Amino acid sequence: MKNKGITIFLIALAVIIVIIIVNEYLSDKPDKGKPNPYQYSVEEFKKIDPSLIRYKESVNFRIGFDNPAAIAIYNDTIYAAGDDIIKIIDLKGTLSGQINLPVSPHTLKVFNDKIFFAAGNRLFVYNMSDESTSEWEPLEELSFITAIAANANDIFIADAGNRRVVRYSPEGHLISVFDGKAEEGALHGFIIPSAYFDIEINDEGKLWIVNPGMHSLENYTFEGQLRSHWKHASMKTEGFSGCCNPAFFTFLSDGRFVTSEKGLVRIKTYKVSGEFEGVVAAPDKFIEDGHAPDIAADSKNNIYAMDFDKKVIRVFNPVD
Amino acid sequence: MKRKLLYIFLTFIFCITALTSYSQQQRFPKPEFSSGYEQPDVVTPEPRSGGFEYLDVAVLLVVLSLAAWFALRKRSRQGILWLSVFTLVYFGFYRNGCICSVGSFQNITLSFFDAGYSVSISTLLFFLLPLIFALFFGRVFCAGACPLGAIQDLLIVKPLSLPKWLNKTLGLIPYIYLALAVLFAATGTDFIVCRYDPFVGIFRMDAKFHMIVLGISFLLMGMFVARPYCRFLCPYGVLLSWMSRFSKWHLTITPSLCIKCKLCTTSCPFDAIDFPVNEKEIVQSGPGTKKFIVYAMLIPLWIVAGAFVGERSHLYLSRANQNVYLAELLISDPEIKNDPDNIDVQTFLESGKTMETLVEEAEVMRGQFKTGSMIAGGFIGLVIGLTLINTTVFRKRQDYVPHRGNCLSCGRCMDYCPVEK
Amino acid sequence: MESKSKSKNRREFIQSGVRLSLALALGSVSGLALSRSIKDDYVWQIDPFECTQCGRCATDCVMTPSAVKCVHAYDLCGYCDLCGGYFKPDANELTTAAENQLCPTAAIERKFIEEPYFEYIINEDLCIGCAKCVKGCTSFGNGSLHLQIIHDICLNCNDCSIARVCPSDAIKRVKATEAYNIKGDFTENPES
Repeated sequence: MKNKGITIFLIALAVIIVIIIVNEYLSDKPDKGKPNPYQYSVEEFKKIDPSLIRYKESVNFRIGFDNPAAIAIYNDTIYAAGDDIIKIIDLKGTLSGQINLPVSPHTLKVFNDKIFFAAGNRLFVYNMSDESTSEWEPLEELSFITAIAANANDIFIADAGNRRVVRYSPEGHLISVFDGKAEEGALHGFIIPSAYFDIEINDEGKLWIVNPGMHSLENYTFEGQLRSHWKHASMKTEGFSGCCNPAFFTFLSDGRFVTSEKGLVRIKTYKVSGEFEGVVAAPDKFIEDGHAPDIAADSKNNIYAMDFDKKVIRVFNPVD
Repeated sequence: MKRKLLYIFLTFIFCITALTSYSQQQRFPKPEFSSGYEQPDVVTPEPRSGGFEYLDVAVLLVVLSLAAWFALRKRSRQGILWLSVFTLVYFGFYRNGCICSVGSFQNITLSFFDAGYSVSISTLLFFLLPLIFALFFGRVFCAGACPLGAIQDLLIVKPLSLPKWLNKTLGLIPYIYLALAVLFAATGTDFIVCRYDPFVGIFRMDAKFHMIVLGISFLLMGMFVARPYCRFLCPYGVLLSWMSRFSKWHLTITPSLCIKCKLCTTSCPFDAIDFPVNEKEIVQSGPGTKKFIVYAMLIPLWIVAGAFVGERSHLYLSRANQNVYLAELLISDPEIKNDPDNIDVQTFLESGKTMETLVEEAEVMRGQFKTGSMIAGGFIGLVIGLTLINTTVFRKRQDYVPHRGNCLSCGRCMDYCPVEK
Repeated sequence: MESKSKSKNRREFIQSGVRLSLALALGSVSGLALSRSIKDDYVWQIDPFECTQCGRCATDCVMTPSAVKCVHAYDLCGYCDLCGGYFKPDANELTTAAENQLCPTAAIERKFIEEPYFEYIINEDLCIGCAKCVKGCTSFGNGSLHLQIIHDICLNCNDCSIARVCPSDAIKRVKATEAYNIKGDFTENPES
């Protein structure tokens, strides 16, 4: 009996051991986990004042691509590229034609009866009148074409790999190259940290280029002289987030800008002056860490966004 | 260099194929610097391997050989003591308790059931060497080469003798532990022996608080109940004791003939010395043949009962598997999908895996658990039956001898024996 | 006396018989294991493409601080001024002031290289592997920051305690000779 104290001590230890083992066994279960103490949270910036939202999502078009790549609208007809196909769709979503391509394009542009598309450093022109495809002289190996802009006399391509814009004649002759370095030193040349580098010519024939690293939209002469620019770097609704945004932009019929961002995925409109106007699609419309959707607009200012994650074209109509 | 290139190549292929949508970004060239900036290398320190793992095997082999020599030939408790100090320092505090033989059977099990996993030779040797030594020399691994044993052995203060029934009953726990560990390892669910290793946190001087408490509790308990983990939990000890029972040689208490002086009777802290059998007692209680036959006939019943219990508990056991648990959770509580803080659920929802796939996987896993639990239950039933049979068998014994299955070959008893060579 | 030695003989015979069968059993188990064994040892490593930056690498490693660290694949880095992995989402200015830094332990050093590029270096001693910067870099940048298990810190537990709780099963056993999954690199091997 002199060991009574020890016995009690041992029993107590045995109980502790059992409790710890049972407790450890029951821990780490999915419904008992703790929230991430190191959460990287952008929730605050996902909330958007509803009064700023000027668009409403109406329909989705299933495009049936495994890897959707790009969208363009010309004369109120949608051209959607993905896999190694371009699908021609009317504004109601009815498929009216399909073009099979020799490559999987990364971007496309339609002007008159020509479809320009690019894959890596190769640039192609498809002629809709005689259904022929021709390839232009490929760019150098590091080149990566992310966007094409075209009007009757000039074709511009954005070469993200070499951080430059290349100007071509309609026949495919290289006319000039510029890297956007402004002479007055107010802005740096094109800073392209990732493969997003968009370029457009608006209805007034002005060439606009995104400088994603500067969060700016820059207007250049066709010769490559900076004419004007506007920029806004901020996580907040009115700015462009992350290291390099906007990823895509397009013009509405009246010359206003529509921008699409990655990271904090959102689509917004800006006035002709570059002043923030409103939101088309808030971040909660997209999956977390989703890709920036490629965007295009029709003549009635409806916006068509190619959602790379859900693999559909989403249509947003202005509400006012 | 070639390997490295191959690796880079494979990574590259992986980037392109698995992440086509990202591939352009992955391959995107970095800025060109005009200021002569040189990009630093990514520092990737090599793991401790490339022959070093075989150093551990060699150390184990040497320690085992020395332990066998000390226990059987040199008959030196002192030697075994210093050996266990070395083991504690090297395998425990220096090598941080991984890899150890005790958990290695889980790796072997997993390699049989998971086609994608194969065991490394060093792990296999860690599993095998102590068992081979046990087959020839008894559990010398426990005496000198096991860091878990060493830390407990050095802290024995006042060992109490446990009642026989308690010893026997607690002695069943390692079999249950072994059966469960094999079940969990075979289903790829968990390595429970490693997870509940009470001393590894002490070796590393770093662990979750409650695991440190667990280790200290075992050590405190070990002051009075010698080596509690070894005797009443260690699943590897089960395998070792099987081997040791039939070992070719074994440590003996006396160097020549036992004079029945009884000096050694209290020397063993582990109650592992078998006393001479009093023939009169046997006569009094009867030869036990009848009991033996009854118990032998009960064995199939024990197995069936064990399998039945296993079958009954497979649902519960299968919940140790994260997939099964997650599937059940999502079915029983769909609301949890709305909890943004639940990492597992949110990760599943974002992974793009469908509920159907998850449920299917969980069902397959449950099926494996059903079979596995029944086998494990049957095994435990068999062990209980055999333990009962054992209580009816009396071996005629005139000397004081170590129990070959339970003796840890620590050599304490040798010092008590007055007989000279 | 004779019967005693007989029974002893019998017992010895049984014993050696069982011993032989145990040895055979051991031999066949190890033979089977050997047939599927590999020379290399395994180590644990994170697949950066499966990592979801849940933060458990910081909380569940047996080491404090974790053996998981952020590594920087410089080849992928955009060297941005506004680094999503360095600055808090709501940073007021792009300076190294502590209130602008995302990293809870200030383990990322920002160095000016040339206009407009900045280099970001991980201080391994301070890094706790929480993946906050990885999330920021992956969401807003090129994903050049990513987590890896650093093998001179990792104890290579038989059962990695992070792998057990990793919600995306991104931690796997890899061969010790190929111990790292550093995110791919374009400029060094364009043709492969």
